[in-house]
Amino acid sequence: MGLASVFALLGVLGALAYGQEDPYRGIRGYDFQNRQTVDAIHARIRNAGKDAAKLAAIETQLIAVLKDPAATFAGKQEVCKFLWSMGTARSVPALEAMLLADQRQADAARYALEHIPGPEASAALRRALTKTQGLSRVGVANSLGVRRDALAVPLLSRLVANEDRETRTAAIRALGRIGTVEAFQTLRRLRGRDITAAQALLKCSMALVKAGKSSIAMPTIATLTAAGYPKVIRVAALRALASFGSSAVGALATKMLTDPDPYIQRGAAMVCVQFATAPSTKKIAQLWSKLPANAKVVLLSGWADRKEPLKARVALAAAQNESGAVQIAAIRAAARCAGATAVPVLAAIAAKNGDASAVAREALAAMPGQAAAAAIVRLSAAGTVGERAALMAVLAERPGKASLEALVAGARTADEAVAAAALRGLQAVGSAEQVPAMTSVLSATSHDSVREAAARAIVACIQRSPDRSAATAQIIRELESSARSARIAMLGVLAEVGGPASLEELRKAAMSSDAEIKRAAIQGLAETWSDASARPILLDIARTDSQRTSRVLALRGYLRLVAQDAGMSPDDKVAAVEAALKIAERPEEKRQALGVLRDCRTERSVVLATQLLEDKQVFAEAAETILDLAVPQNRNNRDLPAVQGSAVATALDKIIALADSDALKDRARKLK
Amino acid sequence: MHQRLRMSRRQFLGDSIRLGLGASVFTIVPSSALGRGRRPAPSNRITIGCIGVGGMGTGNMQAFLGQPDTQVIAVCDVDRNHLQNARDIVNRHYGNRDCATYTDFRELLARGDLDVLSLATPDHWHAIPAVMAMDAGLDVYGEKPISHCLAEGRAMADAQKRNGRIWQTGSWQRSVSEFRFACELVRNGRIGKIVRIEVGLPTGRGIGPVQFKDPPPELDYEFWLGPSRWAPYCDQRTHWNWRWQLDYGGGQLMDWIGHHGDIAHWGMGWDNTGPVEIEGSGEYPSTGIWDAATTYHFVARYRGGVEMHVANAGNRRIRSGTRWIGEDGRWVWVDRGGLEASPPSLLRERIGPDEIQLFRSPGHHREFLDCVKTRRQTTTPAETAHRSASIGHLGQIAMLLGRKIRWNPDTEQILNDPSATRMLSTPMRAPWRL
Repeated sequence: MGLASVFALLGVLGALAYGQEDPYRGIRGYDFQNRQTVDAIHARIRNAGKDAAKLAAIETQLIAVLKDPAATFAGKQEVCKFLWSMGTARSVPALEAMLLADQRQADAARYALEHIPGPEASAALRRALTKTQGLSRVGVANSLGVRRDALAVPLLSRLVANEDRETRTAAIRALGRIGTVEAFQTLRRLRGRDITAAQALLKCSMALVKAGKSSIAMPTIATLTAAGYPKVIRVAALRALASFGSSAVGALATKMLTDPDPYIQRGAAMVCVQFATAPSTKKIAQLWSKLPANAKVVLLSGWADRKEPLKARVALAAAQNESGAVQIAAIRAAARCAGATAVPVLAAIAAKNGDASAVAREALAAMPGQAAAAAIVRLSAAGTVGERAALMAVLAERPGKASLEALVAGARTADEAVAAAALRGLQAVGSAEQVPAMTSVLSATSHDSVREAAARAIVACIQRSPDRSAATAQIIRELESSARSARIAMLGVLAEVGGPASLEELRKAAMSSDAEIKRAAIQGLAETWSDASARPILLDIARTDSQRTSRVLALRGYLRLVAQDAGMSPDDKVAAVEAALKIAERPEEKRQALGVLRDCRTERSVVLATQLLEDKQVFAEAAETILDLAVPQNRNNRDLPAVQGSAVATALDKIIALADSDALKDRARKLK
Repeated sequence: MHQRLRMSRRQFLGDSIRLGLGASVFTIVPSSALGRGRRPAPSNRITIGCIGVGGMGTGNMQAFLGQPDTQVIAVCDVDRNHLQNARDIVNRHYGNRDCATYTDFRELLARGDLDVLSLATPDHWHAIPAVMAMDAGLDVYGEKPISHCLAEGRAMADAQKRNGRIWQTGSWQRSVSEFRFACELVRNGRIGKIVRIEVGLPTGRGIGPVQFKDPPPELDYEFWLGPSRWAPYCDQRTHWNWRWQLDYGGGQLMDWIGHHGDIAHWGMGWDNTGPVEIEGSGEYPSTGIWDAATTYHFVARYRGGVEMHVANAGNRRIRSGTRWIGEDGRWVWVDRGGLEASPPSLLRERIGPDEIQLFRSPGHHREFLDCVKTRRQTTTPAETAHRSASIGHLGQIAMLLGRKIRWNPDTEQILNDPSATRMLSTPMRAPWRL
């Protein structure tokens, strides 16, 4: 521990003791570091609650700190923060003295003064406004603005033309905030089209309107919408007029819609949306073809939630006739405000490709109302192929019996695109109830894409089903009577959904005389099946099947299931691998077996890997497995110990003796 | 055939559980309101300036760089290292040297050619640039919590409305399907009448003595302090650690209330209101400069009697995230990477088009840019963010005063407690003002 740390610690301990004894003494020495004394005073204020006498006693102590020339700036600043919430007029003289000191003390004093209620604090700030300069004066002007001190207006008015920009700005903004008629008159006299002055004038005018002085302020607000004022002021003034219900807004906003500046166009369109009246909407509809795209997008986007016939007509027409961003905004608006009449228009757009199509599908999916729902279902059966296919995706987003029935009907249609789309929908929202219908489709279809979509959908529905075995039984019932291609697909489904009945069907099919059926069943068990129950069947096939490809496939599947069985002990896994190695014919399966052994950190694993050192084709992998087992490992944040025992030494000797690679030999020697 | 059926059972179930089963497995991906893909001509791109380009700000900036219709043209930071790093990222992205740099945000805002401000400064530096930007006609993507005190949030929400600006808060959980679905379940009455909400946030920590020293040359420390009270520099005061000091942030409570508290409000449809009564307590460290509450628990009561318990996770057995509890014991809980319900079958529900459907976001930044063009409100406008932050601000005041406070969410006034009322706003050092 260095000297500095020792002193720091002593300081902390000292402050602790100091703070506990008398926090008002302690805070005089506060150095921004240890908050013990600060917290002690805070606790006293908190414990005093709303008790005026107790708070007054605390305030007396705090004032004494402010007056103490020996107190640190940090301590005084903390005192000002306390006075921020509980100071009274009694604190004002001490704070006023700080206002006139340096910049930091002035800022600290304002922290309290800005919030202390009553005329004393305002008077102190006003006096300081005439006695301070630079940033201190700027701060005082700001605080007078926050306090909305009407008596400060004459003083602030004298500063609006001050040569110092910060002072000038502070005075103008304070006047805007104070918002009296006198402040308004000063600001209006500035006449400048400088944004600070215009903003202050607008805020001041709005405050006057809220105070019931519309006749004074409204004409000025209207003036601020005129060309020549900054664009932000024009739009803000227009919004202010609209929020105050000015009758001039409709005409002004409509005119501003065609202003050359996009900012004004959008701003005016927002006002038209938010504060629209029927006549102004009619006027906009008449002007539609002349409006800029920016304004159209904003209008249509805003109209989306207004179900008015005129707006619906405009939106529908724009969805059909416009392009780009306007068309997309129109699609969304039409879906929301045009009701069922929008369905055919949007379905036609949805049937095409491109951005508008995706937006139309999304809009159709979210369309509220029974009439729209019925129109979508109707068109899903009666529309063009493209429309029907598009509506299948839409139906999948609209839960309910009618949607499911329409999807099933769609799945049964002869058209490949419609059926596949319907099955994709059922994959997302179907249940076991639809499995028989989908199984029929799977059986009957001649299209690969439909068959695949049906299989996926059936798997998803069965997996969602609370009674998987009942749902699986439906597939099994269909299996025998189905054509070969369908049976192959169904075997894939059974392999995905699992369960004893599926396993039995796959076992039987694995012995089929039909080579394709047999292959599909073995593949299902070997590559898809996900629990240990298929292991005996796979091992049996691997041992006894007459075809090499079947034996290889089954052995690989067997080893896959051994490897992924988290519940199997390492000893059992090693025994299972040993059984596999007895029948493994190719180096590929031996390598796969070595991969399993790496995760079984037993001496028997080392023995089996050592035996494989004899096979030159897998020597390198066997040696790596032994070297891996011989040292501690960390996998997935789990520490794995090194395998111990004489088998390891034997294995390392064998590597040293047989390896061609010096690197391998060296690694083995180092482990000895 | 099964080779083409590439969806294993495990894989399917994993996806389904992660996505809330069937309920959130959508066949239609939410699209951008105005189309995707093509990069418009430079004159039609949304021009963006970024103020505050530390970790979060750089992340937001990169999200905007990744959008086809934007052009980041200027960056600003009081730390020159951050500034240069951000500039280099932008210039590398565009393959030019055009990105302008500023250490004074006022100069960036005065350029006059920006459409959008991306704002990710410390909390005490949110309100001033945000209000200035909106008064200058910019739309703003601003980080949460929106404000450093309640009055600043109100000023920002008012500035947005006054100028007709678009605002998106970095409360991006509203753009994530699990959070939306949880809120839709609550909004559509799937767990009945809500009687209690639990909001679990991280626990804070304190610090021992620090070493005050001169600020590093790359940092304009006086500007960094800005409107806050003066304090000497130390490494533990500024980048990232400002969060644990009440002069600049609000601890874990304020860091996260704009996420899980915001989601609680979204689920209840309380985007434009707040509690009526708040009481609670917190532990505030006494040693060192980090003075924000480390452990805390407060109760915010809303009209109708719903109680929202906000606490550091683990305190009072409140889990991290947001949990709504219905009167018959059914509940929905959501956190990042987790969505649970009782009964679990609720997660298989689907929300129909005639029910309350919350906005399906094409991405939080993308949605904001779409709204810049359409002028529709985002999912997290300033008013909404202000109301979410209000939970935390009012909780802070109640905890600091050690007493129950009553709040009128319509007038945004604390009732019968002048001291608490004074704590709604924080005075600023000169020359800063709102």
